[in-house]
Amino acid sequence: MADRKKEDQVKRKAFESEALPHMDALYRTALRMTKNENDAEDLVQETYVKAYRFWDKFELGSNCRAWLFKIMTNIFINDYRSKSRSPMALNVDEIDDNFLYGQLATVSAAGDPEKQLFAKIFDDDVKKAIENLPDDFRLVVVLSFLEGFSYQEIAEIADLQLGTVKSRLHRGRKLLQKELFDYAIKNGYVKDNAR
Amino acid sequence: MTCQEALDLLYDYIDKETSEIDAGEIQKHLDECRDCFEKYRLEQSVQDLIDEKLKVAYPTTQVEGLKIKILKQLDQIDREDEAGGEPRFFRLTARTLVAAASLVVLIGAGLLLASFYRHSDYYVPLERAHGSAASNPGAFENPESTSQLIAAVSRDHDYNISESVLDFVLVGGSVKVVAGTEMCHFVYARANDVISVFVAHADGFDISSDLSESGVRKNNVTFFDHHCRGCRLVYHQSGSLMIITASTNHDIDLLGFIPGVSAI
Repeated sequence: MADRKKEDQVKRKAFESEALPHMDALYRTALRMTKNENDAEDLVQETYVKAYRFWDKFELGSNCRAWLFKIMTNIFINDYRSKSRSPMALNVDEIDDNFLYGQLATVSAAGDPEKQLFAKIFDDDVKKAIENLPDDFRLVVVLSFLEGFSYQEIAEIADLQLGTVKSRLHRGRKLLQKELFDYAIKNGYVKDNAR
Repeated sequence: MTCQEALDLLYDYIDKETSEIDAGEIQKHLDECRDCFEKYRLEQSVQDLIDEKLKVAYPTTQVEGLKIKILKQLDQIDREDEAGGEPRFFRLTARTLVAAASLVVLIGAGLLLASFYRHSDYYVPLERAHGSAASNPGAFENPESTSQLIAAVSRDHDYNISESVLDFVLVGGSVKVVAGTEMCHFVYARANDVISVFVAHADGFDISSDLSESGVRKNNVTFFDHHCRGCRLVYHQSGSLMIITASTNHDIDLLGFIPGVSAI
């Protein structure tokens, strides 16, 4: 019994020093994935409870952050992913690869068109644009842009082929650019240029 | 390197995922080609903008609160481990039995009245499990926790969960909170169909009068067949065992799906 208690204390200590420091990052991503604070908190808590129960499966010295994200992604996909697919997904392929480039070229001939464009995009717009992405795209976009995971790491975390990660990231980017451009127009970007 | 080759690798380059050799080639091409450089510059600056705006911080108090909650949960797990007991959700205390029984009454009544009171809660784990079982069976549940759960059901309910029934195969099981109460939820699948099996204790379960009229009772087995929201649910009660089977395919013999209970 005493041995067991000691064992538990060692386990707890290792878990706190290895796993807990990643809570910020997990929460940040959970917030982008679930789109609300309550679900994000629940998701992170469930992730830690599961990670703690399976702590003996974690190989010390391997990438704890990626391991935690894999657990969280799994829970998200199984229990949180919204059933309705965003209609945006259907239009992805219609967006030209050079969409933003083409738009900027026609709107403004001189100067730094993207500077004027970016001035019209607010923090909230970026947040909204990310949240509007369909779940599958949002997941890879957030893991890449926000958490800086490599393509290979994302493939392992989300249980996807490398090629799928790349194509989702590519299409996610195009969707984001289009959304952001739409926000900029709504916020008065084109009007300013047309004067 | 041609423009097309450079542009094909542009995002890999921005994400620093190209090999050193490719990166050098792209760099060289961008130095020489104004068009491609402009495209690169734009993509890179959009990326920088997104990266920057994404990292806007949230209040630290929020994260501190979360940390406290997590530490409390770890304490709870430690205490359970120390007591040498099984995980909390496998221990069915008298109190949870009563809660489960009254929950079942609620579900039953909810189904019958087609009221959505607590009813929608029931479909959420169902839909989620069916969604993930169909698209990614491997990701549904951890095989270890599934076998633990099978053992718990066998012990607590004296009921054996089969690995396969008819031409369906057990995909996995998990404890799902249905309307605020924990139930054992198993998912079976075959080519295009998925079946959910919820197992709970029915001790003290008293069938409501509304329900008993439409339910059928034979040889100590009660069943109730219901169609709702694209799902068909068949609910069985046999002695102290409550089993609810559900599927989106209305043609599946849900009543015959549960061996031993279907004998009415």
